[in-house]
Amino acid sequence: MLEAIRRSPRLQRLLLIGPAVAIVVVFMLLPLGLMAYVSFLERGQYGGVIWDQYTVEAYVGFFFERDFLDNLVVNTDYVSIYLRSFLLSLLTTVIALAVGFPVALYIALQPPSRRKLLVFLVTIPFWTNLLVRNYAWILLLRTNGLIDQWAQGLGLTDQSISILYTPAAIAIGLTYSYLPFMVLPIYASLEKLDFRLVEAAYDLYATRLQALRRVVVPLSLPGIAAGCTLVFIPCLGAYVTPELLGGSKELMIGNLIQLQFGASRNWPLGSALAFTLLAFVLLAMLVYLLRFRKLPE
Amino acid sequence: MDIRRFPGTRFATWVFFLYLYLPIVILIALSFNENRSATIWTGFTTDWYVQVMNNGDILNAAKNSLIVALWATVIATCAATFAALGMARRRFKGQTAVSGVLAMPLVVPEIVTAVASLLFFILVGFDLGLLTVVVAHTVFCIPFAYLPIRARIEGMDPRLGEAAADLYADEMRTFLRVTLPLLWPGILAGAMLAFIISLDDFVITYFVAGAGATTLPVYIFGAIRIGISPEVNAISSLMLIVSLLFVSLSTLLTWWAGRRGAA
Amino acid sequence: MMEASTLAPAADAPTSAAAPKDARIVIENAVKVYASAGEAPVRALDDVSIRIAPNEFFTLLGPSGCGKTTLLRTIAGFEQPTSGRVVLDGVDITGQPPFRRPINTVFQNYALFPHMTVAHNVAFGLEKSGLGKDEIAARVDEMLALVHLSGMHRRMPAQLSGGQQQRVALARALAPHPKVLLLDEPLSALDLKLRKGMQIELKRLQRDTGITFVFVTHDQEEALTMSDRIAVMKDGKVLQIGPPQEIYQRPQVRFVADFIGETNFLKGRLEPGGVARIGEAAVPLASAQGHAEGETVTLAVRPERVFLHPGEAASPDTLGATVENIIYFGTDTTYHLRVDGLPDPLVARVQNRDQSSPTFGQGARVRVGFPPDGLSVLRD
Repeated sequence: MLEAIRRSPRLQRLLLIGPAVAIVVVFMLLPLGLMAYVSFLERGQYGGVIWDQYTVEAYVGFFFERDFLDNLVVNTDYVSIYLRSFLLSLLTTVIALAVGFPVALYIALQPPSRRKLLVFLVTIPFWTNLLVRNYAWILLLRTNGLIDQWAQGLGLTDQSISILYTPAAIAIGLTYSYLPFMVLPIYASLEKLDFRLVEAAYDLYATRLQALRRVVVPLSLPGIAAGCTLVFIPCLGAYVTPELLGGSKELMIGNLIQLQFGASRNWPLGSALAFTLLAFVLLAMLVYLLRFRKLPE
Repeated sequence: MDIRRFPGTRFATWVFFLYLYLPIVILIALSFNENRSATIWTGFTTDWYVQVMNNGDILNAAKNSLIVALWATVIATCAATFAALGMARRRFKGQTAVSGVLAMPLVVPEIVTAVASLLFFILVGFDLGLLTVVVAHTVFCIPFAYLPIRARIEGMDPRLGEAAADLYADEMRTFLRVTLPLLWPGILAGAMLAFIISLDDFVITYFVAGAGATTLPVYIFGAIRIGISPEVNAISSLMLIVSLLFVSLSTLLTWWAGRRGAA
Repeated sequence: MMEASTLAPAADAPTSAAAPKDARIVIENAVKVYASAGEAPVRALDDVSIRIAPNEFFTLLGPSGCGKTTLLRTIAGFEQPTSGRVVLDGVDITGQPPFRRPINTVFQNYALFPHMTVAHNVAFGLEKSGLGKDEIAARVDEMLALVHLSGMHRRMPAQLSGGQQQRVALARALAPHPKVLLLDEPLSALDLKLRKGMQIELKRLQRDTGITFVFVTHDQEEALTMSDRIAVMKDGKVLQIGPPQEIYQRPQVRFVADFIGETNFLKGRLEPGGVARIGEAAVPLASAQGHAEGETVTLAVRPERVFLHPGEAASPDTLGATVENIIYFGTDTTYHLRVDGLPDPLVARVQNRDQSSPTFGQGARVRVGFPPDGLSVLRD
């Protein structure tokens, strides 16, 4: 047996890679498949599912609900939550790009030792607890919170401002949570950029802004695309931020899904919502991979 | 004009770092605030930390968090190390697919993983508890442990690996004496990242934890839902500080190993 | 940004004896100091003054780190001198950013925009020229024809060979018809054969376009073959400026003599009547300007300017010597000589014109002589 392993590199490889792949396949791929399966099942009377009753009711439930006469009536609740999630994610991505690009550019133009430190400082918050970081914003944003206190102290306003539990609060929290994901990939592509190309642009009469637009941005496009993808995707599936900063009215997809497994006890709908979210995410990934992974360096 | 400078970017960077760190700093500062109202500063105190340390629920949650993180880290790091070693050998058909599978936990939104895991555990008949949490954590810890180890192997001289493969009889010893010592910083960094990711996870744990397996983030979430309080500030700050320590250590380790050369 | 001002009549730079009156570009007392924390500041440019004429092919020659690239980048506007001025056609452009200067650069690595086609690269500098679309297209065609790349419009830089990339870089920099073209070691990445071809090509382009070329190189042969004038630099200073023949034949300092070609250094004492006493011989000099009689000086003589005569020393201006080593090169033969009364060996090169050229065997006694204009008295 041992001799057989020793003789066969393929067997060795199988034994080495096997466990990790098995764990992910059994406890992630399989559950995802199961989830897709459940989304096509009839919901049970008191939660759960009825195993042999197949239906697309969950997907129909996206757009319609049944009134007491069992007629389908258009229901925009879920669609509007999806729409809100998309818009908030898009807004967050745009803000993150607007802030992240100059930051990445600044860091990329620092001397190497300084660069390393700054990159480290950008990554740190990623490794700290998301829940806690969003909680900190409650302290800042709530009525009589710190921002409110400062604004009143500075005389900017004489009545208390309440940002918490608004879409703005969600946008702030999401941007805060995922901004480093924008900075790092853009930095990575800017760092590789040969600055002599920028000099060449200056030499050929391009001003700073033109050099930026014609040379720096096009050449860091793969990084920009990666950053946008990396911010947009987790925003779309965000749960903690809208839960803490959005309150009960400003739901996003993540909260809607959670509700189906909590209070609403509608597993098929929850699964269908989750599966649709996954489809969107994979689509976004696919678009990114097809469009940007094959560009020349 | 200094052509290497783009006006405004320095200012943007300052604003960026302020935005990134101010909330964290404020949270930690407020955890030492004597006032119960949590956001009005009246004086310095460490009482809230004492209260946290005497809160049985918190201590229990912390214990759960540690147990889960330790198990998940050990299992994930072992699996990831083996996988990285297997992937580092000569290219094979399906390598991209394997990479894809190993990266999956990074791509799939947490909420989707959480829902899928919950359904899986219920339908397969697992009782929700610490075990299910450990299993779920192990899955998403694998890529975090895998990537630094893989990077470390990539940085190693491939001839060393070839030499090891060449020396059939001594393969095990070559592994123990050459590969493993060189790989060690990568493994340690990967394990630390996995540990921290597990310690910090909320969403997936929230779904698969069942009643008896409350971890710290789940506890904090419950406490925040009740309302902000100085104890929450204190325990949140503690979590932040632990994470910061771990990340700094892990990064320093990588730098230090990098300076010694990836051999 | 500094307001452009007209140039006040400038004092002649001390090192440029043959400086042209009519200057396209003037560098006046340029100093560039790089200060970094914890280290002694580096003077990359140390009081450099140069006048370059319109139409001139001017070369900055020196070893790496001598400041030649810093000087080039100062002219281009990528670096600001710590003090001193850069004047173009009588207008002070020191404070102007590179995109305001009618000066273009051919970069060492070409710096072609990798995301643009060849045609877009060449057209880049024309976009602000006020030319119409058709005119720009015509200019691009013209430039590509000039560098023998017609029909390559739609290629991407990555699809071109090194030599072709080099030509695109040239076309791009020439397209806006700059007043000055700066070339930063543009040939260093090419292989020897390609380099030789490009040297001739560059010279032709400079003649055809009439643009002032400022060329940076560390290759002395390249500098000698291409330039109208050469400035030899070392440690941020200009040591000597002059035409190639003058730089080669009449080096003024030891570094210049040593850096360019092969040289013998001899110690000698200046005596009355324009004569240098070298060992036992009294050798007449063409010029010993700036040196006092009785002074001990270093003299430089090129190996091919050393005369060899058979037999023992017979005249007062020759020295006796023994042949130690012979190296045959085909077109010429190099002799390593031990000269009577001199501490260092001497190298002489004799052309093998025909059978009658003198040849000497190892250990042969010979007489060594120097033509008066072959000896340069060096400053220290």
